This record gives sequence, structure tokens and C-alpha cells, in this order.
Amino acid sequence: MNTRNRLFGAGLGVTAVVSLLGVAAVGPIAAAKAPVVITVAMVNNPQMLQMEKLTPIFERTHPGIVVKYVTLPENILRAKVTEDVATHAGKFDVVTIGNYETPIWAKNGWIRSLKPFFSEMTPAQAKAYDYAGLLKPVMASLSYKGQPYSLPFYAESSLIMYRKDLFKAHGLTMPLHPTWQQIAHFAKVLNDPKQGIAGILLRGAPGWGMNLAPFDTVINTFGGEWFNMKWQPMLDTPPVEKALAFYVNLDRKYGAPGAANLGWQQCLTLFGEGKGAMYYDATSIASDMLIPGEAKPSVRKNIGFAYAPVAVTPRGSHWLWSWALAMVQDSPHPYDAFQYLTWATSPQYLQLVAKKFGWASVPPGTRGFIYQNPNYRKANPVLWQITLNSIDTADPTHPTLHPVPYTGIQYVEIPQFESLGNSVSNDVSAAIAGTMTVKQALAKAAQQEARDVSGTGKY
Amino acid sequence: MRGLIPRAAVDGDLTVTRGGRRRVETLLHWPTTLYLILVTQAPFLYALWLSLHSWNLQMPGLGVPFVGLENYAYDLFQDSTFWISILNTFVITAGTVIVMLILGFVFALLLNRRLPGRGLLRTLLIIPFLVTSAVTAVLWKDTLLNPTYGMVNYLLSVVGIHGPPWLTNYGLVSIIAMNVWQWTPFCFLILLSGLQALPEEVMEGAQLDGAGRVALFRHIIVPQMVRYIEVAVLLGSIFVFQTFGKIYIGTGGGPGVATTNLSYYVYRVAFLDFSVGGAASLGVIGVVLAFVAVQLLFRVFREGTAL
Amino acid sequence: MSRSRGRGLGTWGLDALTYFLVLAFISPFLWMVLTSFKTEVAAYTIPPLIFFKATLAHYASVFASRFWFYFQNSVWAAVGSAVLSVIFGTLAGYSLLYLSRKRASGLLFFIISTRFMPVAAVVLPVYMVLTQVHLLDTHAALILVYTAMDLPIVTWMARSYFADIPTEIFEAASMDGAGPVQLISRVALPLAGPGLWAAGLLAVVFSWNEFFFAVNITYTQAPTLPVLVSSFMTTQGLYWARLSALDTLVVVVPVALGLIAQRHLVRGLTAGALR
Repeated sequence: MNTRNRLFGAGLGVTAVVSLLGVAAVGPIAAAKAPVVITVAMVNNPQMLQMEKLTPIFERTHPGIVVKYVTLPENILRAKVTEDVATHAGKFDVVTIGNYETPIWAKNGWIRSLKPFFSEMTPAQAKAYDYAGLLKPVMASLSYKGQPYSLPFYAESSLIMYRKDLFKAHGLTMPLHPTWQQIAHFAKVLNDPKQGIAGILLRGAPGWGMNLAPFDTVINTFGGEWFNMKWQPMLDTPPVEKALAFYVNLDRKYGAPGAANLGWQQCLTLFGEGKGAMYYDATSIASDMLIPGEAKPSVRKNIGFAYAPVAVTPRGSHWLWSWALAMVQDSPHPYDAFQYLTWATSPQYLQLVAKKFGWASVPPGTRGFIYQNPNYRKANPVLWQITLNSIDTADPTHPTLHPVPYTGIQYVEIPQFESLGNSVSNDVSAAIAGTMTVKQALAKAAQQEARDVSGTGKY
Repeated sequence: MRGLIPRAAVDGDLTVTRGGRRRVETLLHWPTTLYLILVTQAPFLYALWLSLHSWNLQMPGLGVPFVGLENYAYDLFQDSTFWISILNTFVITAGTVIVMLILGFVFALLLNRRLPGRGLLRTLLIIPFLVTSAVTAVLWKDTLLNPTYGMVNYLLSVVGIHGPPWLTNYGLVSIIAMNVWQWTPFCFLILLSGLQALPEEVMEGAQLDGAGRVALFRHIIVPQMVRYIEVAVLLGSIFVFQTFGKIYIGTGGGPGVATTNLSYYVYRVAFLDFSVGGAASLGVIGVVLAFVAVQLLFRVFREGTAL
Repeated sequence: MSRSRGRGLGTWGLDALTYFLVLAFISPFLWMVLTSFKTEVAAYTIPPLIFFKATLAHYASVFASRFWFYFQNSVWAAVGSAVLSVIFGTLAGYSLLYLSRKRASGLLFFIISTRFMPVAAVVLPVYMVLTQVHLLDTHAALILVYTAMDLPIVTWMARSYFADIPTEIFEAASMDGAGPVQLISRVALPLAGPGLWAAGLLAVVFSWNEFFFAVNITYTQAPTLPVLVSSFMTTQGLYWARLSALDTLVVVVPVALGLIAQRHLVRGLTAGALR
């Protein structure tokens, strides 16, 4: 094929896409250009890796767009992406961020509002994408000043997983809505170090996305909070102290060996290998457990689910998190990026995954329709309902027993939280390891709080 | 003792030609010098500038105001983690260097003997030094020290000992163990070449009786080897001082800050807290400390060494 | 020579001890290679399995994940930086012999001191400069940075090889009318050659294994193998066997080079005194 023909071919392809999608703005410009490369920053979660495998399908239906991924573990990715957008290096077009980052980054002007792009959609496109079908609480947390800034790839709340066979053998019954006191009792009975079975698996590793996620829900449900309405530090108050003492005690006495160093990856492996009787973590991790081959068959067969445990108040007892795709402000290809965004978060994508990998593998928590699907329900027995209800009732705007000046359940929606959260999570991990007492850890945490929000501190 | 070493060219012997002119060779270092100034000192100066400013990547609205020495004052007088990280840096470096010297010496002595397959053994022994340190960290964390599935606790359980979760209960020891594994072969190489430089008669003497051997070791071999030990200590310290990947992957600096060294702390402040100014000030302090430490090492070293 | 007669029982005991200690020391590495041929289930089994049905599935899956793309990038970065640092480092090491003692020691200290900076503190400045000059995510950027990281060691090693050459040899060559170019090409380089090879290989190994800069200054064009290792690292649970296969492949090159250069490496690294 000579150059002229190839150009013509490409032009034809793009024109076809444009006429198909009606994105008039790109038409004349894009037709003359070589394929646009969209660089996507992606967390190496299983759901995301699946998307990488399905991307050739997107590229086939969108000739003229090539998608390239930078796949990294969460911590490294977060650092790299922040570095890129904050310095306006502009190497990423689309980034994977969470609902903590979305409003802050929107405010910083690092990511684009998606509202203008949605309003340019044709009725047919809008109908196919079905924006209203995205779960409301999830979209609320991915918006800033009423405009969507990122679209959910999957979303999760938290819940407790347990081993039905072990419960039965010990004559125990897990209620659908357990309390933390009950969980502590179960953990005590079920803990069996000789058999290598921990009573409960909890994240202990440092990092605000690690041990703070579960521990913050414990703070909330024990009636504690990070700040009061005057932004005074509250981490050294009795409810939080009770919460940390409880969490530390539970993990030290009935947790797995080396609890202070376990992240969700290690907990997931341990539970899948049958080394834990209960496991408190994300609903999306529970979904992973049900994918054939993820857990030992004897575990998968016996896995049970219950709502996140509560103590004093149900408020903030289960978290809300979403990995979402956002468009970088400096991206030179916003329209192409938007096409990719709306492909990866569309109802059609979920169906595509179901077709290719089975219903158990469908990214959970983003759209209501999958929860009506009998096949999805069958692939996620009980779990589908707990996930849906937990996401529905998770309210980041009222996360605590007492009124607080911040939003966010397992985080505090302020930019300082990145540093504050990491520092506090270090103290929590130290308390679990026993190198710090609960009181010491919280005194240090409260100091850090005071410094971080007072504005006199360094960070 | 110096006499045993062949007389070598010493810096400055050749500075001028017989005719007293400055030699063109004195200019050949400039590509390196300029390159290093450009590629390392420019960023360093930039870091120095940053260390005098407050800049949080997450809060661009605050701008990058000049704060003078505030970052340094915070590090030195308010931040307990800073001092812990300094102490940990010292413990990790000293611990690693000492153990690697002992092990390296043992291996060098054993493999300087004549034995069948000596070449193969030497070859095998240097492998850990060549392994990517990210891989070393993963290997130790997952397959060796994992409290549930790890080899170490399995072997302990065979002899009836219930092994602890190493990375949480003995974090620093675990990090030092990983470092020792990686750097002992390096030390072994240096000390082995030292032993090989010893005259034949000395090593022949090593075949003597026990008491003679000890005396020989103490009075002849060790003094002979001092220079090599110095090199091992110097280079080893420079590398180990920077330990990062093993902490990052192995312990995340925890539990708490129990295994946070300066390198990891700089990373944490820069890339988890996004405090650019804070990280820069820590980095500058790190350079100053390393400078002082290496100056001290050099001072202790005798004149025969490079510097 | 009657050495062989001296091999008594004690000697054999020491030999056995040597074998045992060396094998014990490298057992983690051997274990990694072994694990890479296991199934995931076998990799977790306690007590650990020594005998099992080997599988090449993990290697297949690694090769399916664009391994060779990363591999190529690693080759570019490592070889490029090694070549540059050996050229510059050799010149500098040679030059140091001709400087006055005070200047030489000051300069060498400066050169070595450039390795002290905690990497994390300069990553951001370097990143921003690379952005400005549009070198982010290129082989050139990696070569630029790695050369700076390798130069101190290479210069140090080169200097000590040159210092090993007795002054008399230079003097004799000068008497015969050798100019600066002949001195370095006919005398210095041949005599220090093996050592310089060792220095270069060491530079390859260091650059090959570098992770922190690699992950920060590359995106889709130039990421190296350690970046691939990290992207495999914390996916769903821990795929030990698959990770072991990747790890094994990643370390093949540095290990092979190290082994090829073994003799030079043994001779290398020291500050002179070796004949």
C-alpha cells in the first residue's frame, strides 16, 4: 500500500468513527493525523489488568487511537502520577485515581471536568453510556462542585468474610450484621495457631491506603473522629483510644504472624490459602475470592459474607472507595481520552468482561444493572447484595457519630491527609507490632494532626 | 610491610614532564568532572534551593514560598523520626559492614585454598552481588522471611523452634541480613584479591600447625590486609548507606519507623507526603552526614590508600 | 612441589565445609530458580517441595508480557551508560596520576562524593530538568543518569589499575620517546585493560539493577526490567512462582556477565597492590 492510500484509509477510518460517534470537533483535525497515543496510568489490580487484555477491542472499534499503559503498584503509581500532573510534565492522558484524590485534584486544576464532554454527546451515545446508571454515592464522591471529574472503573465498600466450615465446626453462627464485640469473641474461639489458622486477618502494614482503611472504619463506628468542628485534633480522645486498643488487641492476639507487616495482598493470599477464619476487607477483594483459581477450592466453597461489623454507631462503619479514571488537564488529546474513559466505564464494557471472563470477574460496584442480572447474582451469592447495600449506605458526608468538618470515611478529604495519614498509619502499625503503646501512638498522632492543619507546621 | 607491595605510580609523581611543563594528561579528568558537575551538582543545587522553600505538591495553591532554614530547623529540632532515621542508617550501615567483613574474610580464606572446583565455588558465591536488589528484597521477604510460608521459619520448625515474624519483630536485623547477603560477595572479592597479593611463602606457611596459623593470621595476614579491608569498608559503606529497595519492599520502613533509614525517610517525605522542600532538606543533611562520615573514614585510612 | 601430599583429613574437612557454606549462602538464589519451575500451589506448599513436576508455564507467561521490550530498554540503558562511564572514567582515572597529590585527592573525593546524595532527594529536580529538555521517557535520560551514578566507581577503579603500573615503566617509555597518546594507548591501556573491562561490567550490572530512577523517569517508551518486576509485584496476592520466573530472567544477564568477568572482578575493585 502506498502512502497516499494508507492516509486515505486512516482518514476513512477516523471519519467513520467520527460520524458514528458524532464528535464533530475532532473530525477535520484528527483525519489528517497519525494515530493518537493515549497513555494511561494504571494500578496493577486484577480488574485493571483485565482491561489491558481487552484494550485491543477498543482499539479495533476506535481506529486512530492507540492505548498504552503504565502499570505499577498503587504506592508507586500514586507518587508517579502526582509528580507528573503537579509538574505539568503532561506524559499521562488518563490517570487512575480514587475518590480521595478526585476533588482535590479537580480543585488544583490537574484534571478536567467531564461535564462539557458529556453535554456534547449525541442522544444515542448518552443512552448507550447511561450516565444515570452509575451508582449515585460513587459518582457523588467522584465529583467536585457538582461536576463529574472521574468515572468509576470499580467501586467497593468493606465487609467481613468468614469460613463457614470453621464456624460450623465450632458451633458458631455469623450474624448478617455482626458487632465488633461478636467478632472479637469469634476470633478468640477460632484462633488456632497450631493449625496455622488466625482468628482474623486485618491489614497492619503502614500506608493510609493500607491499615488506615479498615482502622478508620473502626474509629468511626466506635464513635471517634479525626477532627472536631473547630479542626482540633481528636485522635487522642477516649473513643479513638478505645478503637485502637480494640484493633491492636484483636490483631495481636488473634491475627496472623507478622500482622503489623501485612497488606491486603498478603491477607488475601493467607485467607485464600485457608490461614484465616475471618477477614475484614474490601468487597472487591471478596469478589476476587470467588473467581475460580484465586482461592483454594476448599476455601472458596466455604466462604461466607456479612456486613461490616459495628460498635457504637453504624455511621462510617464501612468505607467507600472507587478506582476511577480521570483525564489529565495537560493532555493534548482530551476527546480521544474521553472516548477511552467512556468505553472503560460503560455498561457494554461490563458485559464484555462477563462474556470473556465470566460474571465473577466483572468489575463490581459501578453500575446498578449488574446487580439485577441473575447470572451476576449467581456468581456472587449474598455478596452482591451486601456490596450494593453497603455502597448505598456508605455516606462520606456524614462519616462519624458527631458532626465533623470534613468528608470521607476511611480518609479525611484534605490535601494534608496524604502526609498525616501515612504518619498515623505508621503509628498504628507500630502499636500492632508492640513497639509503641496505644497511648503513645495516639499522642504522637494527635501532635501530627495539630501540626498539619494549623498551618504553622512544615508540611 | 609496604615493601611487599610493588612500587606503584603515586599521584603527583608524574605531574610535570622532565622539562617542567604541565602535562596534557592533567586535563583528561575534565570530561568526568564537568559531567558530574552538570548532572549531579546542578540537581543538588536545585535541591539546596528547594530545601529553603516550602512546596507541597498536593497544595499548589500555596505556591512555593521562601521559608529560610525552617525545613532544617524542623528536621533537627522537632522531628523525632529524623533522628530515628539517622540512628537506623548508622545501625544498618555499621551492622552490614561488620558482618560482611567477617563473612567475606571467612569465604576469602576458605576459597583461597586449593580445593577441587574452586573456580566454580568462587563463581557461585558472587551471584548474590549480581542479583537486582529489588529481586533480593522480594526473595527474602516472600520466600525466606514470610512467617507463614518462609523457608527460615520452616527450617527452624524442623529443629523444634517456633520462628518469629522476622520483618516485624526483628526488622533491622532482617534488613541487615538482606544487605549482608548482597554485599558479602563484594567484600569477598576484595579480600580475596588481597590474599592473592600475599607472597606465596606466607600462604605456604598457612599450611602449618594450629598455633602457628593463628599467629600467622594475626601478625602477618591481617596487617597485610588492612588496605583491602579499608577499601571494602569505604565502598561498602557508600553503597549500604543508600539502602532503599530492601526497606521499601521488605518493611515499608515499619513497624512504625523502626526500619526507616535516611534514604527511605527522604522517599517518604518526598513521594508519600509530597513535601518537596522537606525532602530536599533531608537530602542535603544526608549529603553532609555522608561527607563527614567518609572524611572520617579517610582520616582513619592510612596514606597508602587512594586518598 | 609436593602440595598434594599435604592433603590430610583436616583439609578434606575444610573442603567439605567450604562447599557447604557456599551452597548454603547462595541457597536463596537456588531456591528462587527452583520455585520458578513450580506451579503456584506447589510454591506455597509447606513443607517445601524439592521434587515436583516442573512447568515452564510461568516463563511462557513472562515472555507473553512484553518481556523483550523491557529487556531491550535495559540493554540500551546499561550498555550505553557503561560505555560512557568507562570512557570518561578511564580518562579521569589516568589523569589523576598526573595531578598533584592534593589536587588528586580533592578531585577523587569530589567524584566519589557525588554518590552520597540520597537518590530520592534528587529524583524530583532531575525529573523536572528532564521534562524541560524533553528527555523524559527516553533511553538517553537513563543513560545520562546512570553514567553519573557509575562514573565514581569506574573512575575509582580505573585510577587504582593505573596506579598499579610501576612508574618505571612510564619513565622507560617516555625515554624511548613515547608521547602522551602512546603512553596511554601502548602502556597504560594494555596493562590496565582487564581491570577496565571489569569496571565496565560492574557498571552494566549497577545500571541494569537500578530501579528508583527507572520507575520515575520512564513511562511507555523506555521502562527497564526492574520496572517490570515491580509491576508484577503486588498484583492479586503473591504469585511467587511467576515472580520467581521473572526474577530469574531479570538476573540472568547480570549474573552471566559477572560470571564471564569473574576473573577480572576478582582482580578488580581493589585500590591497587595486585599484580
